[in-house]
Amino acid sequence: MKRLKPQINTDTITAISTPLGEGGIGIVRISGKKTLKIADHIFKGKLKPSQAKTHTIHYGKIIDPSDKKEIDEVLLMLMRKPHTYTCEDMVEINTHGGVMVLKKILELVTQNGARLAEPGEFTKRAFLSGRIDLAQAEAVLDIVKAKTDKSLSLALSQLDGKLSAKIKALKSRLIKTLTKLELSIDFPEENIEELDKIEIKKITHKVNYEISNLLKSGESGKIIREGASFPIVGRTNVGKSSLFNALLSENKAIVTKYPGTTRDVIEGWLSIDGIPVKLVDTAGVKDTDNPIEKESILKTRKAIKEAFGILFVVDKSVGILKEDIELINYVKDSAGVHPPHKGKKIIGLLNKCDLPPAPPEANVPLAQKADWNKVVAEPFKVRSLISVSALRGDNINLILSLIAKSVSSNNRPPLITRERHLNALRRAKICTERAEKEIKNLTPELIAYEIKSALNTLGEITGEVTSEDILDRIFSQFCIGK
Amino acid sequence: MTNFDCIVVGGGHAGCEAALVASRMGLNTLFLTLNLDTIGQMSCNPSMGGLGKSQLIFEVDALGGEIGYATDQTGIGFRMLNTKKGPAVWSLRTQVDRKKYREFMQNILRNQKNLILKQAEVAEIIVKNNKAKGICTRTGMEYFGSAIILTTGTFLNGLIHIGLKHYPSGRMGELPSKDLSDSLKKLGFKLGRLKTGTSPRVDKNTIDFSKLIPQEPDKEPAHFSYRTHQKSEIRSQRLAGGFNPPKVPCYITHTNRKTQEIILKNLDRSPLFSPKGIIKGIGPRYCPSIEDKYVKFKEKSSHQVFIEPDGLDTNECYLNGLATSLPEDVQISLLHTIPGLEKVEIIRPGYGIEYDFAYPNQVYPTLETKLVKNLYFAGQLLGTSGYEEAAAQGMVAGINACLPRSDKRSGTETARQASLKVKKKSPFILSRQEAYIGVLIDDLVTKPIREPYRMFTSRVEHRLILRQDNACERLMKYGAKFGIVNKKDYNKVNEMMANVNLKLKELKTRRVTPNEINSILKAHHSAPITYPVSLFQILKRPEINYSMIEPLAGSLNPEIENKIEIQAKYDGYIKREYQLVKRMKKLEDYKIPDAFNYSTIKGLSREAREKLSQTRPLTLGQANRIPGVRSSDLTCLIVALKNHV
Repeated sequence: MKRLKPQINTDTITAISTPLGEGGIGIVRISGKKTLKIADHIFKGKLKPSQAKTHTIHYGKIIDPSDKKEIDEVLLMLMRKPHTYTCEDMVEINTHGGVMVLKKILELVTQNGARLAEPGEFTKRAFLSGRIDLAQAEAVLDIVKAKTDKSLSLALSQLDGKLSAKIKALKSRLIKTLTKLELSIDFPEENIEELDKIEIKKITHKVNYEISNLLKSGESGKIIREGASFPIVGRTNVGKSSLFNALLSENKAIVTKYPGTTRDVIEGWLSIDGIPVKLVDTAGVKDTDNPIEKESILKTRKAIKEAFGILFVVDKSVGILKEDIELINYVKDSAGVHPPHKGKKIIGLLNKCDLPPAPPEANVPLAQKADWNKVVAEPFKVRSLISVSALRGDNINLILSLIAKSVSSNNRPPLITRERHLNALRRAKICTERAEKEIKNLTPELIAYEIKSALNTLGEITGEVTSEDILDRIFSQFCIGK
Repeated sequence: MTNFDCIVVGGGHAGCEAALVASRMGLNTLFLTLNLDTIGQMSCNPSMGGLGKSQLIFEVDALGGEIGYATDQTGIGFRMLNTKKGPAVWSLRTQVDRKKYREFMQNILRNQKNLILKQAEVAEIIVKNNKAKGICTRTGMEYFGSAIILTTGTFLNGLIHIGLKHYPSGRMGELPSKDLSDSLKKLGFKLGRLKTGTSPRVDKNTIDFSKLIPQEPDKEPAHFSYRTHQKSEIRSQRLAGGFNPPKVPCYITHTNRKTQEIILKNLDRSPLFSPKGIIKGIGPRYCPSIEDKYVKFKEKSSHQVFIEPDGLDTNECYLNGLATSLPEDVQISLLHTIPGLEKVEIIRPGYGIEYDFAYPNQVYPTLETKLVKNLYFAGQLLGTSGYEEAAAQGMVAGINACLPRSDKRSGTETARQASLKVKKKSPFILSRQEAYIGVLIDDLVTKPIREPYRMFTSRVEHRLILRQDNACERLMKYGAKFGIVNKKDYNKVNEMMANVNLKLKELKTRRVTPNEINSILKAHHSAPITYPVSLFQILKRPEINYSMIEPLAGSLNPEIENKIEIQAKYDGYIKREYQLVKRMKKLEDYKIPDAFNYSTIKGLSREAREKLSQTRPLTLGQANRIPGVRSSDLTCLIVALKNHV
């Protein structure tokens, strides 16, 4: 029998090829036919990558083509086929921006025509094109296999998780519908009630709604794309900035200072258990007519609204002022501390514990130490406040561990898996949406096609549904057979 | 003469196609069967086609098989099913005159060049050096051939059950074949036991038709074979005297609580449910006996019964839906509870039958056995059920028997090859992406079998592009290549397709202005256009069909019109399907060498190693479908293959 050479891969793949969560730099790798086209599209440097010589390095910026926003300064390494690892056109983008920047670049690359690589797929391509020999391939494969086994066990442990439970529920709805469709198609003479398109529309609508929620929910997707954001909130002069610096320097992360006024929001990133956490140094919120301050107050409010959790700071040496109370009330309302809102985790901090109580000056404190809990802790429903000193570093590690606890209590699996999941959800939704919206025009075979496509895509998350499964359901639920 | 190129054993639907295709491809073929008079017998219900099965008939026909044409010629009621569910799942079902079908098929076989028919019971396969050399009959006669195709149906160690009585038989009133079963076991084949059942046949003259609901066949019947079609191309001519088969109705009635009572009361006399029953074979879930239905679906007291005519000149009727192995007296009393059948007389009772089958993972997708070279299995022997499934396998086994493998050819094989019209040596394997037949065989050789295998459209992942209406376009090229499809017929199909493509191009480039088309759109409640668009775009609208735009697009013959409508309506879907197929093709085209050793591959999971060694897939695509083989295993496999020279 003749052995055929496999066809050359037609699609372009990408992945983050440095470990996530740690390290100051990271690399996004792209391989395949569309590599140069994608690079041209998102990279702005002196030369277009497609015009550059092979095996050269270029300094430039990654720009989001949709809003022209700059993502990061990068070094782009260009390698033309066939002298590359995969024997295809390859580009490696070196960034120093940490996890979030890497995620964003990966997202841009996939939005512009590449798909996420399977574990070991670069090696697979290298191998298929004859680039590496058996010994090399096996060495790489050992690692790949370890990875896939790990992701498998993760996928299994996730079966008990929230996301999997939801996807399982979605799938069972779709399977139920598909069973009915296939039943009516394969057994038209079995005297079974005609297909109810209205019912199918209802189910697909529900599924779409739930997929949208899954995609939207801050619990899953947003954190991956944007990180878990913890703004540091408090009136002016409570020491937010020094706290911000203290937390970040403890974690050796990079502080990005955005251009603009000094009153602008400053963000910094930490990596906690592989999940990116964004600290936001906010401006104090107070009534003002100054347009620049007004602008920054709006930004603070936005930060509170989008926050995963809030570090709320008061000045222990001064005591509670009117502005503190106003801010407490604002945060309480907008952070959804009250049920049924999904409460944001609030960590209450008494800063400047190194200083003796200051003598009352122009601002008369409304409360002194004895009342901290009543005034600050109770409205936020937190058990106790933490005394910290940004200056001396007291309890900074405690704050970090509290942030870690609140982030990891959601028990998130590694990001790359999640990105794949989100991707699958998005693709599944395209199918179920079509089934819902076009249902009037679609014949049952086409509705079945869309639902099957959606199921196959969801199957990438929790395991495949085979035609055998559908037939099993038909035979067990309906009395079939002439 | 005792030396042949090919020996086909068994005269059912698999055997007929295999014998015809082998002799038509130039092999001197011997056709052996237990009873010459029952060649081509429809053992169960007198109908062909239906969901999934219709597609198989169309495909066998396009390859140059006989089942479609024979059905068209002897059909007595044609119905297109699923007409409201889209062309991919349209399926033709035909009531057939059982006797006429058999006679028609026998006549074709008798007149086939290169084919000798003999009545004999084959008792042993003669094997030397793991190669099948011939067979030995029960009476001691030896025949030699360089390819042996076994299509034993339910005859291998057949055991009939009626109530708690049981006796060896291959079909009611016919002998089973015991020795052959032992011979196969001796050769090392793993055999299992399956069970199927059939319904009582009753006397039409004792049915009260006034109580029954008739189900009329289509007034303008479609047909299976392109050969039937070539004789009547235009609808008006077809009606005037082209394809105009008899139109005999079926009748529908229902069982009721009284039937339920009788059946449940007599379960202790059922070989399936009584503790004294000895049925071990597994029956099909899609074709349960009536007692099965009442036991499994207790809340359902009424089941549908189709009364199907057995032929034009017989008083026999088949009661579809009432398969049973209950004792005959129970069969009589349960029938008498059914409206219209109160006084019915049974002509032949229903019965259950157990038979030996060979686990189908013992054959390659060519249907040649892995254990013995030049030996092929097809039909129920491989665990399938259904005339159509059998015919499809007969076709594939027959063609492959004519395509000798290139390795180590023996003397007889050279002789055989000299007699071939076809010199191509690559095996004939249809993929899941190009045919239902491909899905059928791939499922058989790849997945574990739990019950008699029946085709369903839902098994076919690419069913939108594998339609019965495009079977010729998909498969006729193979029939033509092997010389079993008439060149003229093939050219005609190509010509027709060229016309379709030409017309499609025309419709895509012909732009209509709002002035031209809006009155037509308005008349059919379709949104008017504001700027010129192509007629193809207009035709894509679900509410528009070709006849509405005919004044602008020009008139066409109905077949071309139909093909163009499907192309337009399914444009986006067909494209999506082809993309999927293209992606799959990479794996499907990656061949795994025959004697590949899985035990030395690093990194394979133990389960994958076992399953792969057992199934010995021919391609990575097939390996990928084996339950238990994960994608990480596949990666390891690719690595190993790459370095295997």
